[in-house]
Amino acid sequence: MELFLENISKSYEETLAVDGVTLAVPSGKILALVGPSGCGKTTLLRVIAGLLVPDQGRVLLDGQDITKLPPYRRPTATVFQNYALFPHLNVYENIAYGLKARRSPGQNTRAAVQEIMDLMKITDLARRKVNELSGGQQQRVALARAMVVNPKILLFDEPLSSLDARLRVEMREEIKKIQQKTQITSIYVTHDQEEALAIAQQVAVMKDGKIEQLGTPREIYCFPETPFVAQFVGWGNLVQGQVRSVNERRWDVQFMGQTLQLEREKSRDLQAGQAVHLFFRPEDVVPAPQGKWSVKIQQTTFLGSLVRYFLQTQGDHDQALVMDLPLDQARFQPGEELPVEIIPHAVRIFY
Amino acid sequence: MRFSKDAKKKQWFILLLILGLLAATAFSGCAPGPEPEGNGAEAPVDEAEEVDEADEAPAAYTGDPLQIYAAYGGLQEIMDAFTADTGIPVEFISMSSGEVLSRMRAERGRPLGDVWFGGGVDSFMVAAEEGLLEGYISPEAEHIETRFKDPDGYWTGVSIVLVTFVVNKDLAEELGIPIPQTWEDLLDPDLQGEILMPNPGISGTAFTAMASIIQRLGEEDGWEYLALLDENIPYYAERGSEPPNKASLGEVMVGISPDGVNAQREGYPVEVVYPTDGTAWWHSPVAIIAGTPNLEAAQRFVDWTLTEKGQEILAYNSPRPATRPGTPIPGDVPALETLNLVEYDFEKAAAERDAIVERWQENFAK
Amino acid sequence: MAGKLREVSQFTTREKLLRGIALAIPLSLLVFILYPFMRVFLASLWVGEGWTLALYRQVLGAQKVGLLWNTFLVSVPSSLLATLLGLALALLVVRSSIPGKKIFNLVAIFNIISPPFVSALSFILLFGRRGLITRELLGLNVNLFGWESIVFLQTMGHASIAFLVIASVLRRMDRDLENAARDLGASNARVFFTVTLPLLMPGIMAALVLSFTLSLADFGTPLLVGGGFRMLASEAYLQVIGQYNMPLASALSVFLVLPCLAVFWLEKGVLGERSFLSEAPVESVAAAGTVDRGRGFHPLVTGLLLIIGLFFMLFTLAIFATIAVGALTNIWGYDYTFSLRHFQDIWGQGTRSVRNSLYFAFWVATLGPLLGIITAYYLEKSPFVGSRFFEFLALLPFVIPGPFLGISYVLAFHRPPLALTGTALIIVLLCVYRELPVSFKAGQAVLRQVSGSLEQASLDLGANRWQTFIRVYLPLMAPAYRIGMIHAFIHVMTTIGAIIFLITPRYKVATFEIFDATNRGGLGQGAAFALLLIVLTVAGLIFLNLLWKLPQLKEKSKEWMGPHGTVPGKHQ
Repeated sequence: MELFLENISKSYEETLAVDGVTLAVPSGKILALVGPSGCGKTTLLRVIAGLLVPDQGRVLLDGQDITKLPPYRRPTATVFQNYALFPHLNVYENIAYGLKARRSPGQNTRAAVQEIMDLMKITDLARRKVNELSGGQQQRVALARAMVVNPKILLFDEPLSSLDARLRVEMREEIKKIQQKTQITSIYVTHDQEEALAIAQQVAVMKDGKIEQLGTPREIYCFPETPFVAQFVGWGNLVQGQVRSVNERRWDVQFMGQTLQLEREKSRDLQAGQAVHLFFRPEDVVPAPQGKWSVKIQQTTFLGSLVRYFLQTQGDHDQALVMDLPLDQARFQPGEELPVEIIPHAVRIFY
Repeated sequence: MRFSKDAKKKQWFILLLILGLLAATAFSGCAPGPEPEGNGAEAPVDEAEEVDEADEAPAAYTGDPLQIYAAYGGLQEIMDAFTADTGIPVEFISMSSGEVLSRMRAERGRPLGDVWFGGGVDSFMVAAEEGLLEGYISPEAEHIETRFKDPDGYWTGVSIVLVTFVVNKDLAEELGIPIPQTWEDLLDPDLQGEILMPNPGISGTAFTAMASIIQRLGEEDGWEYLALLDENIPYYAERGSEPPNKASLGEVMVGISPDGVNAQREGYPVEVVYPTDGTAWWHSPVAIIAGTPNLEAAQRFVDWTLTEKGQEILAYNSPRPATRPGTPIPGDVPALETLNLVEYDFEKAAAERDAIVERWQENFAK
Repeated sequence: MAGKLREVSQFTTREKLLRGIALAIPLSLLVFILYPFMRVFLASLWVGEGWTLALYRQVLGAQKVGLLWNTFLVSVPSSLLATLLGLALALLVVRSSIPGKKIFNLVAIFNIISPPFVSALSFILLFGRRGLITRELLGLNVNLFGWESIVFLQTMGHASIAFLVIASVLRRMDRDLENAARDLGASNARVFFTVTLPLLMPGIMAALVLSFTLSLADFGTPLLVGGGFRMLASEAYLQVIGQYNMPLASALSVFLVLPCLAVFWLEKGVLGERSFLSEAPVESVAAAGTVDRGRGFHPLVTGLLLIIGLFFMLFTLAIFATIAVGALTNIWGYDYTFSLRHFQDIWGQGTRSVRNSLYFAFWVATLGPLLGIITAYYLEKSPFVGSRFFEFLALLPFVIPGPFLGISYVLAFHRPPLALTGTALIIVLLCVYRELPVSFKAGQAVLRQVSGSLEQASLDLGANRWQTFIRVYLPLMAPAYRIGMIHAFIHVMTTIGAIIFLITPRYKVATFEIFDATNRGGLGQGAAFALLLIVLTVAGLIFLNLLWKLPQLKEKSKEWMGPHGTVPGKHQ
């Protein structure tokens, strides 16, 4: 079941929420829509669900235009933020709601609800009122309610945002497992980049109603195409620099008072003297006795397997940097000065 | 951020409260205080001038305003005139006799009113019997006919209330029915559904009218008449004001009502008929409420209503014949001599009241 | 300012004050709600020297039992219809995509402030036998007096209150619940009946209870358009004015209040725990619930709602126009030449009564809601044994018909130690306690949305309970205060049933003058009073709203003046 969004735009009164988005969602995969709040990801999700009608563009499902189809005729099901469980119905009735709405015969309904409750391990809760459930239980009910109607497309709207951190990780693994089992094409909206990278096979980073970058989690993390994606996904260092010289194989880029030789990328063209931004991850900053840069440690944060250092470069260029070191190499104290090196092939250049 | 916003809200909230309280205090400056408004406030000045001339008048009045429960028309004008004459400020509220009576009962021992002005004489009789009234024989009462006053001075009649037909002339013309002049005329089958009358259990007017008919025609014929009249009455109104109002607005043709002249004065196309085969009537008294803290002013009010001048003011502002012979009356009020008043025995009617109302309820309550 | 607040000597007095208030609140509920309430029962059971059920036998006897039946014949359909109409208006205003739909909000407010008696007279003038619409326009000869007219007028009159109650629930409803249903395959109609309507039930029930109570309490409409049709409230009123029979009136009032209590319990019992309102702050719900115009009602439904709304609007406007005509023409219904004579007639006594109305309304509107939110604060934040009972007491006036309350105050407060009759205070007190449920409920709703951690945080930060109350809770409850204030102002300006038994020559109010004028046949004067009352109520509302908007205006002016103000943290 392939979902294709073609040049979708949607505005509320004066603000343009979604701005000409074109996006193909691969069949049987999870695609994560990630971005800061107000980036248009939820709006896009609601356009897919049919709860909003786009101002322009088309929604195609296996080549069929469903843009004008009302939500209840679409083969989609949504897991809402805050779950949107019906407070006047019990767990069983909540899950059965979609089937009843589709006029499924009573026997089939009972069987299907039973099956999904078993799958989600909530059989014991069948007669409970939804407001008596814990957050995790509500999450399971919401998922069960969406899945029981056998949707072609499953939509998740920040489904884990009100759970505590540990439960969030558990649930996200569970969702992943269930999706892999059922192979339902899924779109997963979240503002949490870590969650997006963890759960999805494809990630679309959105900003101001547009898709900044679409790719696998690895591509997004390692090869961000814009400074926004770079900074939004994971921690990183973004510094200003200048191209000193260009030759066949190398770019010499000066930043923080030193010059680094970088491998030339074939697809891109830089001129000598051009101002650029350089981006590198905290783990790509390493202590080295002959390091070009001298830094002073401001603060350390213990992260378990890693220790994160907040640094300040010494000299004329007063630049704050972040460095991650594995626990066994982390032996520096705040106030200490040390030389560091930046691994050249990890540096991304934006201009 | 949330907190600072709340804090800001809080400041405004407090400011608002203070503002509100200030405004309220400012308001209370012109709040209902004991000093009367407008006309009343000017009055003491007038009086001060008069005092010099009239020696028997007491010094400028300093007591509380007189509290009057009134069932009377043209009250504002009457009270203004009284205040102008005596310097005594007045506050009044208009209520039906029944309500005055129930208030006096509720307030027994701590009356909030000083004077009861106007209403059905039967209610005054009940009140006097229950000890709710203060006996006072006004020096002016000697001019009032004996049949209009209580021998013990619990109440004194100030005017005569006449039970009239308020007939909508437009509607009469439209329906082609001549304007009824007698109770007998009301039995015309063409008038079916066109006559409105209050429930005698509620309205003193209706009771007096019915009791008058029974006294006039005799027990048997009287009830037979009421049964025939009932054929033409769609329903019995719950308030005395409903029949004349509905006749004025043309919802029915005839409304049986006291003081029909009011509807005429209001400008509605109605004719006021005093039935020639027997106009029911009663006298509307004034009385002092027992235990009033303001006895002297109350007595002066009673005196004033019975003076020649007071009687004239009453007659002009509430269009009724006066009880003091020789009082000039306005043109739209008939002279008592021209009317065929029913020979009405108030004592008998009062004694039979419960029986009449009960029999009526059984037969005619719809 | 904060520094001054922390002076130690003030600390203790304030704590004492807090404790004093904590005692005073339950006490005042007992004295001003429970005690008068019990007095009515007492008066109906203790006649002369002994206990008796004679009055109840009388009420249930052959002559009066019809009253009960009549009352239900009118009150049940009128409250159902009013709620239905209110629901339709709420859907129209909150949910439809009709441009300019907000005007119905205004119409509803106008409808609420329509003064008593005169509206019914306008109705007669418009639709009666010689009515402008029925006769002049349609050429009909109708007899409109009867129970049907009472039902119709009450429906139109109470719909706006039902509308306000239901609309507020509808606005706060989490729209994702409906989205979820739609998303799961339910058609619009199915969503409405299986999700929207069940979720609206608390609001609908509240509206039903309210309009039922109002209908029971209404004694003016049956008297004016009932055509001899007798109901409990008007009968109780007539028992007092006509038969001087306070005990029987009390017994009748008991029958008025019993069904109200029953409905009240029913509502609490059936729906008590089921509050479906979204717990998220209102703004975020509204944002999450953004739904498209293209996904609104079916055009037929929209059309039907619009017709209902327009009918309601036209009716309200027609009534108001007729009142204005009556006030400003020579003879209402006959001579339509412009005239100010009615205003001249009412000038002397009128200004005084109108000022009394404003005075009472202002005091009740400013003080009443304060009592409401403080009561809510105490019962919610420091529950004690029996606080459920006190909550019940605080809500009780909501379902007590006005005349019952009035009679109860006369019975309770005429003799020492609380000999209050004849004072302005008793009228203010009556109105304050009558309005209590509105601000109490609103305050309670706010407090239940606030997590207890807020208070903890404030206490942790070193604020004492007084400061926490003043700085944290009062500002939070400001919206509740506002609701109570506006409601109280309108209600006190236009009410008559509750205070008619308490007003004295000195403290007459404008509604009483309307009542009196129409009683005397001075229909034009009644209309003039009504018009004056409408204008002043609207002006008062605008004034109160301006007071409320002041902070926003100030903020705007600060923005113009530049950022030297002391407002921190507005960085977005």
